[in-house]
Amino acid sequence: MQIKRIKILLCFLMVFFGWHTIEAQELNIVTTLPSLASITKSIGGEHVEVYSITRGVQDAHYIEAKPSYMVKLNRADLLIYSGLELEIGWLPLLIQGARNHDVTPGASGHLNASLAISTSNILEKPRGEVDRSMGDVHPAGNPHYLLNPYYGIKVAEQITDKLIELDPSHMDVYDSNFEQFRTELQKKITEFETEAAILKGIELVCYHVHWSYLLNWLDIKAAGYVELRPGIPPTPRHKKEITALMKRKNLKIVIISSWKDPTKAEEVADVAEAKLLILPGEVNAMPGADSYIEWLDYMVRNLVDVAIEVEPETTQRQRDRQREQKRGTK
Amino acid sequence: MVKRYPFILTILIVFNFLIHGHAQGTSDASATGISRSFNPAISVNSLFYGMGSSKNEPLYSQTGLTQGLHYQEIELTMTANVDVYLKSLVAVSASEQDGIGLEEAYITTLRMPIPATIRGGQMLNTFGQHNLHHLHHFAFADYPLILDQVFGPDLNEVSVEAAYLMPTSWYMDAIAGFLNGDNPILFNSSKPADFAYLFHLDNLWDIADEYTIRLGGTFLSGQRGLYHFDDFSSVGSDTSSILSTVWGLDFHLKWKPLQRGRYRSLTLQGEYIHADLKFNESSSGPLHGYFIQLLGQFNIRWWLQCRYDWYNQSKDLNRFFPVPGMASNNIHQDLTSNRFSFVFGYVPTEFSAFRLQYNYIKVNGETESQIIVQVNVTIGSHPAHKY
Repeated sequence: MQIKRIKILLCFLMVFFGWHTIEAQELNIVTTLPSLASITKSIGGEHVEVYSITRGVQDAHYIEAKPSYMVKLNRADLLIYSGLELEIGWLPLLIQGARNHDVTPGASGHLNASLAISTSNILEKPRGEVDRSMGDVHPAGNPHYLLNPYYGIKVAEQITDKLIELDPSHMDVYDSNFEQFRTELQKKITEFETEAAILKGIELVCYHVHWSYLLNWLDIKAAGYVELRPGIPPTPRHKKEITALMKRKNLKIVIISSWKDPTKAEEVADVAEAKLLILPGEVNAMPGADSYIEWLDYMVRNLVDVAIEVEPETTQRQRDRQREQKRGTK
Repeated sequence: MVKRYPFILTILIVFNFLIHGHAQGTSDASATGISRSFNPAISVNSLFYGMGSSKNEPLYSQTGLTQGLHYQEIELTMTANVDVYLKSLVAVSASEQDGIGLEEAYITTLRMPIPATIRGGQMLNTFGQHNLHHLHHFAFADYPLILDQVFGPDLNEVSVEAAYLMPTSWYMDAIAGFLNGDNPILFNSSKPADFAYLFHLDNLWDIADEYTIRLGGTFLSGQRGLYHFDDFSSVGSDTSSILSTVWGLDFHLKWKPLQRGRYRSLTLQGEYIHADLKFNESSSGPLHGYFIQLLGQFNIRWWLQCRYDWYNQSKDLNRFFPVPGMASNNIHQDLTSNRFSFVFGYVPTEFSAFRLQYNYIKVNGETESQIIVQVNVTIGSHPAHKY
């Protein structure tokens, strides 16, 4: 009778304490962003189970450290996050609360995706002193580097290496998936760059310092920002200043992320007789931006469409210039 | 002092196990030397307030809020990882009422072979949710009445707490605590070896992407001194002790939209606490009460909040827990106190907040109205607050 009780107790303890160590067939991966989840799914395919903590419609800067995310992280083999302090307000709490040392800093299951980007390519890294009177400045630089598809390829390569490290038995699959992803994205980049060539040199206004990598890639210039400082809504005076600038320079486009309340940006665009373009801040933020490549496609296509609509002369000039260049090449 | 040895020995054994369980073979030499890279994150939070009241002597001033302009608390917090195995937090606070004191100083394990953490040191103990918050993280300028009256106002002890994340599909955290038993209201036993024990179960479910529900329960038990007294003005303590038990329930229901969640949210939360306190064989009585609050954010910077507080204490407890301003004829009857509070909050950033609060307090028929203006600012690198 006593032996039976001991057996029952041992079974209970094995289930209770062993629950967390039951090995799954797939790698259990938690990412902080849907874009990272999308890239990881492309590489990992059927051998990974990917969960993104933030949804596309959420602003990843301001997520609350919900304990239910700790449960997800507790069972994860790998955590992939953006880095550059994008998740500084909530990820450390989640990692601590998850009580899974496989995903703690320094462990093999902890991947900071920003390390794939060389420091010199990080935009808007403050050069001088930083303090909070400057608004929500990221001391480590702008963390939205996935808006540049070339960095998407670098991050995909880094994720591939990590998947091979954690699951070497499927190395061939991960390598093959990465090659397929890179080829597809490279092809799309060529298409994007051809299509967006008419945007070169265009100036516009952004609501928030968010789009720098996208604008930098497409050679578009942000002439100003609707926000007073990063993360700080505009004062009436600042709105007047930005609309005056837009009128003076004949700027016709204001872009804002789908995360933000568009009211203030709409007011500025109305006064300046410009077009407000709402772009998806992340993968899945808007219908039609359902994967990393579709997200990029959505942004480029909409920027081009709006530019043709509101700046026909500039875009026509760019088209003519392209034609001339092509003739010259022939 | 000799009788404290088992407690100290337990702490040493636990941490010795933790360190040696993972760090065999490490040397005594420092590999890092002096570098500013390893400085802790440092922040200072300042709370200032001004209060006006309908009474010259506040009917209820346990929280320390008094009329006029005051600084409520200045809190210096430092936190950093100690090494691969431990994290440490130290919070020192200064207030007009209590002077300078240690609010928290504890270490937390970073690596355990099972999904658990152990916290040890002086800390806000895991009794419900509100007790874990520092003053600057409160939704209102003052403490809930029931916490104030039972814990006076914090359960903040030298203790060890172990938290185990249960293997359930939802978040379930089971916490067991071993407290020194120093709380002057609950456990002031004169026996040094009289400890207190705490058990807490915390559950959280995502009932939808935008809604969470949290349910928790806590049980706390420890020895308190027996008292002898001849009349209300003369109360002394004996060396013998008797068991005090306190239990509590806490909940929250939270809505935060996924889209533009920074602009709107709504939280309904509350806690019920029941303390069964004995002072001698013939004198005992329950002290129980609750608070319930609704916190609504209707714009990125604007909040509207309301709270209702209620507690009741047996007349046998009045000589031990007198309420300042309580009329002397009330001391022979059960004490019932309730309070309505309303707050209009302006929160420009996560580092500053301005609150206008109105309190309507009623204690056994006597009433008081209070207006409080509070300013809350944080400088430096402050660790993120828990959910």
